[in-house]
Amino acid sequence: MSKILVVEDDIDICELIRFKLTNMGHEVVVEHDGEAGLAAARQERPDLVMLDWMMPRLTGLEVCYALRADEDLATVPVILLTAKAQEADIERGFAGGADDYIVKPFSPRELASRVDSLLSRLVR
Amino acid sequence: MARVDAEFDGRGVHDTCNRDERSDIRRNLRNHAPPDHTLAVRCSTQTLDDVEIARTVTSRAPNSSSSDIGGAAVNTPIRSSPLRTSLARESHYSTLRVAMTVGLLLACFTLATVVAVASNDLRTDEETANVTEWATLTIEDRLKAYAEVLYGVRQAFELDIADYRNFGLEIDRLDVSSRLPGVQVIGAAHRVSADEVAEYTSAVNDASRRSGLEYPDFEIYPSSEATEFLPIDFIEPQVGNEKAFGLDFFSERNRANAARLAMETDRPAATGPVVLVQETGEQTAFLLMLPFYDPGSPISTVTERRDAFAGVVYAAFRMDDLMNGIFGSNKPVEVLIGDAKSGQLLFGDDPDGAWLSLSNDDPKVSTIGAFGRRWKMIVDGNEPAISMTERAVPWLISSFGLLSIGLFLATVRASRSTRARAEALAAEMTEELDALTEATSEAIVTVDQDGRVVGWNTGATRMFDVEVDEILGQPVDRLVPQNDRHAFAERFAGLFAADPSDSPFDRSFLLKGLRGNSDFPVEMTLSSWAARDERFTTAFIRDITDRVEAEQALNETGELLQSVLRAVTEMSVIATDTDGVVSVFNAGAERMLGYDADDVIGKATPTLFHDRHELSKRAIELGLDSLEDVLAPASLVDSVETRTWTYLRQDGGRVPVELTRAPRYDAAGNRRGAIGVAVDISARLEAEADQQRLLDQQHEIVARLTQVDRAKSDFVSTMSHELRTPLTSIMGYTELLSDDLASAEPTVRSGMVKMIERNAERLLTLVEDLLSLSQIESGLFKVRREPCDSAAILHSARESVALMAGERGITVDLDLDDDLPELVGDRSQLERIFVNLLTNAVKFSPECGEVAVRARVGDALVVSVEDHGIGIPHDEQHELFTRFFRSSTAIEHAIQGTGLGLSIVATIVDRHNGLIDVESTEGEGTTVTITLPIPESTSSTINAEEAYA
Repeated sequence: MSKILVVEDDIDICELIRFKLTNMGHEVVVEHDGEAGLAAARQERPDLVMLDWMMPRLTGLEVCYALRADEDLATVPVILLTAKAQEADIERGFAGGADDYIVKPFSPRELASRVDSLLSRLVR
Repeated sequence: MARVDAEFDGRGVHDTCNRDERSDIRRNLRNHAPPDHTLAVRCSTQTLDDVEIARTVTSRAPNSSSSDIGGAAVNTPIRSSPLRTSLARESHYSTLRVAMTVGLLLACFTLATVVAVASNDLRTDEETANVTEWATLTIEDRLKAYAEVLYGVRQAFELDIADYRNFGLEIDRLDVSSRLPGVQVIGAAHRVSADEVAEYTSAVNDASRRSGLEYPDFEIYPSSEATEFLPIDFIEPQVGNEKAFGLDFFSERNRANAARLAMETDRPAATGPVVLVQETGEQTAFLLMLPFYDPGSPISTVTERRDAFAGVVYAAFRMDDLMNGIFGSNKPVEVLIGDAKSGQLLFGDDPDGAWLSLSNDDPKVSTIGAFGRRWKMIVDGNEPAISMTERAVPWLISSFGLLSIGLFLATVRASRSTRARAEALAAEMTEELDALTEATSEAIVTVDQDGRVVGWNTGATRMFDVEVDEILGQPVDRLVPQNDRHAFAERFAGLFAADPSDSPFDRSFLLKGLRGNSDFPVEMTLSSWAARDERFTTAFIRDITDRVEAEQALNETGELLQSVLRAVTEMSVIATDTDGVVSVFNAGAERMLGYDADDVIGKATPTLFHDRHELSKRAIELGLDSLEDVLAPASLVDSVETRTWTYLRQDGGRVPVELTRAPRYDAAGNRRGAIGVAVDISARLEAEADQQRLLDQQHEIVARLTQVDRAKSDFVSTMSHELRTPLTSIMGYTELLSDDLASAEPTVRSGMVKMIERNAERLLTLVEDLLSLSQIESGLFKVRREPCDSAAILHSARESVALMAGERGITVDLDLDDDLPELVGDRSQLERIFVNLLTNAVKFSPECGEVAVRARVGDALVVSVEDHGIGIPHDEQHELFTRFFRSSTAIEHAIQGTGLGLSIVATIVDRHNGLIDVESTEGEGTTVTITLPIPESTSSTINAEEAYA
């Protein structure tokens, strides 16, 4: 079981993700904006962070930068969730330190497999 | 300078030698003198510079006798021809001064005596003085005076024959015999060697002919085999003395001795008693000779004097006339004078030989020194008892005669001196001129009266490429091209016709010279002059090819400049002089400024047509005190200055110009003012303004397009997000529902279905908004006009947001007037207005907040939707109706939205002729008020449809 922080401003999507990941047996912490998400990450020390890109206050990308700049959180896997689907956007996401990238709308099953994949890599 | 006049035993020594030399001469004389002779020395000291004469009789040996110590034959060849032009010698000048001084002093002395005697009528000691002493002094003084005259005369005989012939005329006019009593003749004899006789004879005869005097034919006589002769070749007056003409002094011992003595001593020398060859009566006479020498030859020693001896001038004295002239009526009772050496009686009658028998010791006997001779005089009787006045009369006569001669000679001498200097100068100048003539680059060509070249310098050779041998004697017009020859000849003819002394260098003109077959421009200055009755013209010719070419170039430049100035009508060209006053004002300037050039040139400075404000501004920039200084040439430091100015036309119009000003320089590089070229730039400025406007427009368009592009990009991005977000929930929950896992729990399943439903609605609203937007954008937005129940619309709107509000515990209150009117319009659109407003109010309200909807009926239906949400910052409120605008508060609070709602609301309200108003305070809430018109008669509009573009 891993602790996963989900930062997403759309409540419906947050619940969707929480439902799926909880059913997978993970502990899920949810925040609705970037600042709160960053604070939660520092406090909760999640095993994985899932960030929506377009969020108020701090964007997902900005949170990602902050995480990578934080000694304790620099290595935590980050999945960017975004409605942006342009290649340039994806590149920007990886350059910002994201480990994976999921484009909305997404399949909850695929989300689950990506999370498993990242977490298993972490274990190894 | 002291001059010692010494006579030794009757032999005169007159020299400028110093004391040692004088001693030497004395010794020489003593050695030559017979032992029984006693030296009688008479010294006369004359200080010439102070014009004083002191006479002292120092001693006289009473028993001296005459002797002849000289007379050595002179056999040296003649070294100079009397024909040669001579230059004066300084010693002669001195001599002349002596002569003049003597004459003047004699006159003064005499006058003083006359005055003294006349006033006092004294009969002093003189009366009782020894008559012998008196007579001796008188005779000696007179002889001395005559000798001085000869010194003067001698000057003339250093001239050539032609000149002394002319001089003779003057002598003639002087009436020698009456002015100088006793002087029979004045003449000259030149030394001629045997081999020169023929040449000399013909020269004298030529001179005689040329002088116009009726001289007899000259021939030396008596003819002899002698090696040299001293013939009389000048005699004045010649009438009555023709017989003496040609007489060789060397042929007769008495005369020859005197001549040689004179030659050796450079002093006057007297002959013994002679009978003149021309003498017809029985008078005894003597000659007084004074030598002259080759000019320039040294004559300080006897040998040198013999070598340089050229001839003598002489005077012949008849003794009776002389003595009568001396004594006049005061003649003592008996005077006998004889030559001591020869014993011959010179004056007086001594039939019984008493004169000779008297011893020298006898008190009646006295000795007179007469220039190399000793005269023994016996005076018998007493001094005549006469007044000094009477005694002075003959003195007066002779003295005035001497005076006039002296003055005359002085004149001659002066002219001689001037002439000599002129000749010397001329000689020097000739040399310099020759050198210059050869050195100059000018051609100097001299032409005779026939137009033939007689002078040709190297400059001419270079210029015309003609050697002097080729051209001498050739017609000068060979030097000018055929076409110019006529004009050239006329020039010369005119020149020869004119008086040569009349501005000789004024005849300058231009013509062409010929070198080979090509011609070249020359400037020629002609000078005409005369020499030996012939007229010559000297042409100074300068090759002016370079100058002509330069002038042509200059003319072309000037002409070009003028043409340019005339042709440039679109530019104002204004030049100023050093004072800043306009000196050039071209047609372009006239056109641009409206002034006439004549009204400006020399009268105004450019300040006249400059904007004063601009000038003051510039003056301040440059730190100048005066506006004039701004445009003064001095304001230009060194280089060209280009600035824009405003010209003021004469009619007051303003012309913006670009003025380029540059300093003007003359050929020497001095500032001569400035030149300003101005171009009217009004068209350019207009074009620039147009261009700027166009550019601004373009910038605006670009900015708008950029904005549109960014808006589009933002729109796409936003739409993608807004569309994908509900789709994510719809697809995600649908997947979960289809999974076994989810389907197990019915409550969960129904929750999931609600989520799907809600997000589908979101999606629908979004799609409708986009559709409306699209219609609005494309102009196809249509408003149906139909009767609508406003209350029903408001209720329906509240139902639409009920789910969303309920989830967050928000209450939506409707406060509606009872009799809400029917509206005419598009029901679905009107409902959209309120759905959107309520959606916003709910979205921005905090959880469990309140939203109030109030509808009031007045002239119009006024519906307000009030929330107590986050509000909108005041400075963003004006943008609320802009598409896609989202307030910073909305973004901050992560409130989803597209920024399309209010924009669509505003459009619908507008299409229904309504008004929308927003009041909002950040942090307190927002109230949106919609005013919609109430139709006057609803029935009239029922079922009416209208399309709006």
